Amino acid sequence: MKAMSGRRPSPPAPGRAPTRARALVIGLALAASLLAGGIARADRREEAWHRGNEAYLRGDYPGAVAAFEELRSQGVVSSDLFFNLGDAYFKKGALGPAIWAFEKAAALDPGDDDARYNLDQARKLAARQAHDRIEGEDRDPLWIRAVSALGTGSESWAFVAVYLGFFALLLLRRGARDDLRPALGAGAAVLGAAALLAGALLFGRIRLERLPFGVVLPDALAVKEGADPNYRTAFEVHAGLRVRLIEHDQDWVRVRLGNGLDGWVRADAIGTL
Amino acid sequence: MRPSARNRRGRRSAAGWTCAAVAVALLAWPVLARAASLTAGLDREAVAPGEPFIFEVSLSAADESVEGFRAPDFHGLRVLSAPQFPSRSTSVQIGGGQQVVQNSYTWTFQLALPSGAKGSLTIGAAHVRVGGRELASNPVPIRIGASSGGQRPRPAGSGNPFQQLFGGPQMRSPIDDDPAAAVSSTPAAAFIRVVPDKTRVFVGQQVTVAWYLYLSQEQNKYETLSEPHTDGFWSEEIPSTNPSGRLSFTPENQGGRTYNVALLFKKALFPLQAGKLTITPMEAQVAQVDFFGTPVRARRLKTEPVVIDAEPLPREGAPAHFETGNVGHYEISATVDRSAVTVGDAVTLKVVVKGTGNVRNVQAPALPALDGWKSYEPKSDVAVDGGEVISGTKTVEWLLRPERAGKTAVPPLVLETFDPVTKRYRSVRSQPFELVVSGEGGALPVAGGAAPAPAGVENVISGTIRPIRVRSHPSGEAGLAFLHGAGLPVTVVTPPLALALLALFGRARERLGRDSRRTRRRRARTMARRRLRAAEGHRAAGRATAFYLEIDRVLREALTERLRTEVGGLRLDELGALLTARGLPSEDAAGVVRALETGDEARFAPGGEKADPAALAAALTRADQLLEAIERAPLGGES
Repeated sequence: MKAMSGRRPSPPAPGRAPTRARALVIGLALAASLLAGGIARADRREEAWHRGNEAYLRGDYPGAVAAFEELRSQGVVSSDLFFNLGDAYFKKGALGPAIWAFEKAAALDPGDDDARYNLDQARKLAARQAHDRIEGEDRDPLWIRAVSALGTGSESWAFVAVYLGFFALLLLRRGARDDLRPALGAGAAVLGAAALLAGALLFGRIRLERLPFGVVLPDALAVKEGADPNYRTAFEVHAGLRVRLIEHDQDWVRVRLGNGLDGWVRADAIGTL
Repeated sequence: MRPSARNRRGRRSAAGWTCAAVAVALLAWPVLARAASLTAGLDREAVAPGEPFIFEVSLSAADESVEGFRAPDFHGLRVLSAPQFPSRSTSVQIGGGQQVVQNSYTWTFQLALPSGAKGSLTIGAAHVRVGGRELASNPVPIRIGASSGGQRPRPAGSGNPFQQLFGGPQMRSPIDDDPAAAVSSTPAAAFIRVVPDKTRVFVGQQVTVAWYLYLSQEQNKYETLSEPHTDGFWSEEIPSTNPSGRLSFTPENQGGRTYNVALLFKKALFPLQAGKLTITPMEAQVAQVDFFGTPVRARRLKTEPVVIDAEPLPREGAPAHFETGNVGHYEISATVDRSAVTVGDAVTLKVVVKGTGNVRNVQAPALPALDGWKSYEPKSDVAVDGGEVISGTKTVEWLLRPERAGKTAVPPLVLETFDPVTKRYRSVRSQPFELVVSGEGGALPVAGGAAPAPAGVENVISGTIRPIRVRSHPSGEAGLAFLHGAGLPVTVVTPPLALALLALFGRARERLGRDSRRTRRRRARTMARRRLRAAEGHRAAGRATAFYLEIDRVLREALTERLRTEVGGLRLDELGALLTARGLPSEDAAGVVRALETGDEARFAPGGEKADPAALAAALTRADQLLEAIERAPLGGES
């Protein structure tokens, strides 16, 4: 009885060793499939990129637009992609989407002169068809202009460099000789100030991205007083006009012009920047 | 006979109703007066093709906002002139204790039927918004045929310069109601003379006709009863040179009698057809007024009709496609707002015809067909200069859009005219020019242009977009991935975290160092207690050698641990000196040396094994006391 009531040692779990092996196999298979999926995805992207370029070069601009849009729908974010997409839209005759794509390319890489040039050309051409002159338009605030002057990449890498440099100097100072400590401290202070500035720019970039802008895509777009087509038309805007997006309501978005005038349009008529 | 009560009631009732009706009428009068109406009409019954006529839209409204006038559709008609603003007059009437303002607006259009028009036409309704209400005028049918020979008379007093001279339009002469009033055309007391500058002209040539009023006696009132009709002429009013708009009288001797003569009005007439064209008589009335303003001795005046002989234009030398309205002396020019464009862009071609003559009726040359260009409906505008001789500028603008690239030579535009002064036909031409279109078919400019430019020809390269980037794959945006991925938080958090961990580690290490010293001493005390217990066991068993060995060990180990110096190899005098130097009280240092000497003697002296138990107990107690002293002592040099 005592033996019965005593705690018996648990028998070795049947198949424990095979379970571990199975887990290992599953893990390896999962990793392999993820790797293969990544490679396949990269292949598909590359194929769509080449397809778009080839279509463009042989004059099939709708085909080029479709291929580049396919890339965009796969989450590819690249100034090259938006530049080529803008060219394809431009050649297709869709000036609003072309302006939107060039704006995207220029925003991703503000130093991209080609994108800025093509954006200028597209805007000029759109202005010949219809030009929206916004009376009493305010300039963007200083912080938006400052953030927009640099690209996301420049701002990110500048911040990383000065931030890590600041901490590196702090660490060096800990273990440094006494005579080196003041110089390292001064260097750390300079880099700290630079890191604050770069951090502010990066913070501004994040805030700017949460303060979305958009571009009017159709040649002419009636802006309604409410989020329904039955509302009265408040005013009309034309392709390429840059607007601020301030509110969403299902398939509609409320847009605001530079002079504060606002109204509702269908969301698919605006290309978000 | 007294009226019965019923009759009285009836009369009172009737009187009451009458008063009520009057009151209602008085109250309603301003409302009725305010009812706005929009009417349209022509100045004649029938219109001949090519003959200009007047179409008027009149609005009568109270003091309400009038906006959004929309002219009717003049489809099938030529609009010779259209008003930019309506003419407006205001009258204020007082009645029923209220003041009623009536505004009259008139939009006057000069129209013409195209030559060859037949059948009937109807001008649709004009629209205007009055006080927020939309009003529509009546449609006006046009009967096409021979001219009715008489314009509908305009309201008396319109265009009457004497209204300013002698009084307002409300003044009426009692003679108006007197059918037997005298009609005078004799150059007796007063008359009107019609003076054309010529009576024989070509069709389309200007005749300037002036109407003069001759008065031998002073008159206080003048009123136009009927204006002269100038059917068959295109009429242009020549503005008065008198800045005040009043009549200006000058004395003139006529048949031995002195008259005061004033120019009533002057017109430039352009015959629209050949033949004898009559300017019908005009009728007017002059009168004197008495002290109370009542007209007396009214005199009706009537002019003689004037016949103008309009000669047809000579056939000899007439160009094949001569337009009969192009009589005068004109020049023509053609310009474009830009000469180099891209496909899909627009060019405005402006043709200006300028000169002397009936410029409103001039037909600008048609635009020749331009291969590869699409033209839109032209826009026409006429500006007439004031003056005795009618002159002005007619501007026609075409919007052109190129449909493909290339060069287009626009030939000279030829305007065939007849100069009535020289009695010759003239051909005036604009300068030829060239339009250069770059780009290829489609709505947008394309890089590379179209066909290569031939040698010696300017090759215009228009601005276009920069080509796509043909790379193996699109550039990535690491910055964006960093910003939106885990890179940013990791970068932000890691350095300060690492710094904090390093600081914590240092402190922990320091604390750990302190703890190890304490542990070491604790361990030494434990060891000492263990050795003392062992020594106690040896004492109890009578093993003196082992007892003193333990006492030796416990003392030396305690000293080694406190002094952090191995003391095992020191002689006893050296040890004593070291202990004293390190601060152990001298009696304790001497006690330590003595205890160790005692132990050595007991262990190594012959018979030491049989030591006295009491001595062993005393040695044990003494060792315990020494250990406490060593523990308490500061012992300098300790780290």
